[in-house]
Amino acid sequence: MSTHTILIIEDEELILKSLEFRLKKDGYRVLKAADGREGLRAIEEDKPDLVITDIMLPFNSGLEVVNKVKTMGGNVPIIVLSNIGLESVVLDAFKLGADDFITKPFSPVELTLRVKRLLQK
Amino acid sequence: MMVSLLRFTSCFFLTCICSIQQASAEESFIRRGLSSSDQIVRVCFVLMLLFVLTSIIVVISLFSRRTLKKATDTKKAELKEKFSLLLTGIIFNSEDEMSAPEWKDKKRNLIAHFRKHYLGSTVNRRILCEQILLLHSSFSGAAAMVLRNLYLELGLEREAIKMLAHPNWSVKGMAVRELTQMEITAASPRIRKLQKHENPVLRLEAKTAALTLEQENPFSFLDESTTLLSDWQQVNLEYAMRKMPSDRIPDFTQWFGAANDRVVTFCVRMLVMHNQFEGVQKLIGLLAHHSAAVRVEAVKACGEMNLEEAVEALTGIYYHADESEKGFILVALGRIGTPEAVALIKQCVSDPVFEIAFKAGEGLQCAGEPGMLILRESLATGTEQEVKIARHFLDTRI
Repeated sequence: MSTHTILIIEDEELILKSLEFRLKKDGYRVLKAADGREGLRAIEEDKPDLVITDIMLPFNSGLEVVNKVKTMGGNVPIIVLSNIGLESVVLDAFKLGADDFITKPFSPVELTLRVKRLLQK
Repeated sequence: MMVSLLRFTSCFFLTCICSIQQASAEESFIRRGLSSSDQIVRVCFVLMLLFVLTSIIVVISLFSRRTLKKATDTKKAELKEKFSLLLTGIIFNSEDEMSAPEWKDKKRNLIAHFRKHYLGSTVNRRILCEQILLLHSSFSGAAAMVLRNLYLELGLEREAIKMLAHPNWSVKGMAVRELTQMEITAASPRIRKLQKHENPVLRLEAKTAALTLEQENPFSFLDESTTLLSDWQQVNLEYAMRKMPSDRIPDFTQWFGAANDRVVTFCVRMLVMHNQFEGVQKLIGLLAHHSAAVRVEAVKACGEMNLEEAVEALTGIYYHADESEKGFILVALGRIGTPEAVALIKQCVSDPVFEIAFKAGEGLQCAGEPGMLILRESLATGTEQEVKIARHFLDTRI
């Protein structure tokens, strides 16, 4: 069983719970944050092994989270989730250092596989 | 003290009433009716009593409404929590268990549980429906399929179909969205009727729904569209179209002869978006359209599709076009970037009208290296206006 810690930053409670359920089922330790500010605090305090963040978040956007994590110098992989599949948004996320980008609606199985792949790196 | 207060109040009321009614014939009647001070005191007392009673009723109703709202919100939050746990359990457990033989029994029990405990009240059904829709909009694949099946097995689509007959257009709109998201094609004929509804938002929802639900001719609304297809509606239709499989995308040139100019401009945009190069001759034909908006859209499309075969037509209409159209033509020619196109733009950089000269500069910038070469020449040897324009377009910071 894996002991990796994953932080999910998502403002939609139902989606947050669903992802938590799925990832816990896969054997990960899951931390939750409902907005960007809370997410950044959790990154600093709990040092997760992987971050899954939505783009549209209260206080600090998902892109700000990506930027902050990458400028902090850590090597934490980040998966960005978004309703917006616009090329410019995807490119912005990758330019800031996101490791993966998933557009909603997405398959939970696909997310699990991408999480596994990033944690194996 | 109390009596004097009452007397004062009554006098005040009387003065007010009298001043308002001074000119009327009723004045004498009021004076006669309220001549006795006892009567005045009695009337004022009744008025005060009424005021106090009304205040008490208002306070009680406010308090009870708040309490009720708080209780409802708490109940809703509890239900949401319960449903979210049940739904996440269903979608993620079912992914692993769907193939197991006992899954059917498990699912039947679960649906019976939902029906027995939660589907009795409309509020519960709406909350459950909202949760299913939210999860369905976020997940694809097996999870989305499980949610859609659950939605159908709980009969929630029947309620949405009923909502289509609701007198309020916003409720109708919500139902259209829900049925579209869940791809309930059976609701398509009813939704089609809403394409002619007096409310523009509902009309848009119905047209967008047609792209998903209509099997035969999802774009039939373009044939019948007599109302203005606003930019916002066009953006929404374009967004809905992105999710359509490519084999369902029609040949948009079939609407180039539509009487509604907005339909024509929309179809020109869609032609570009879907790279329908087989329609370019018809697109070039639109450069001579009677509507300026259509002509401009066609010019932009020629540029975006880099249509070398359109250069002659664009050069031909340039000299008869007005200032703003000329600007669009120059930029389009720049995008196409053939030597003939660049030659025309080069002439226009020295146009005495600044707006046209500026657009020529933009055209040269779009033309790439040959255009930049001309701009550099202008910077070195051009007139004051040419130098200004060249400096602007050669500035890498802009």
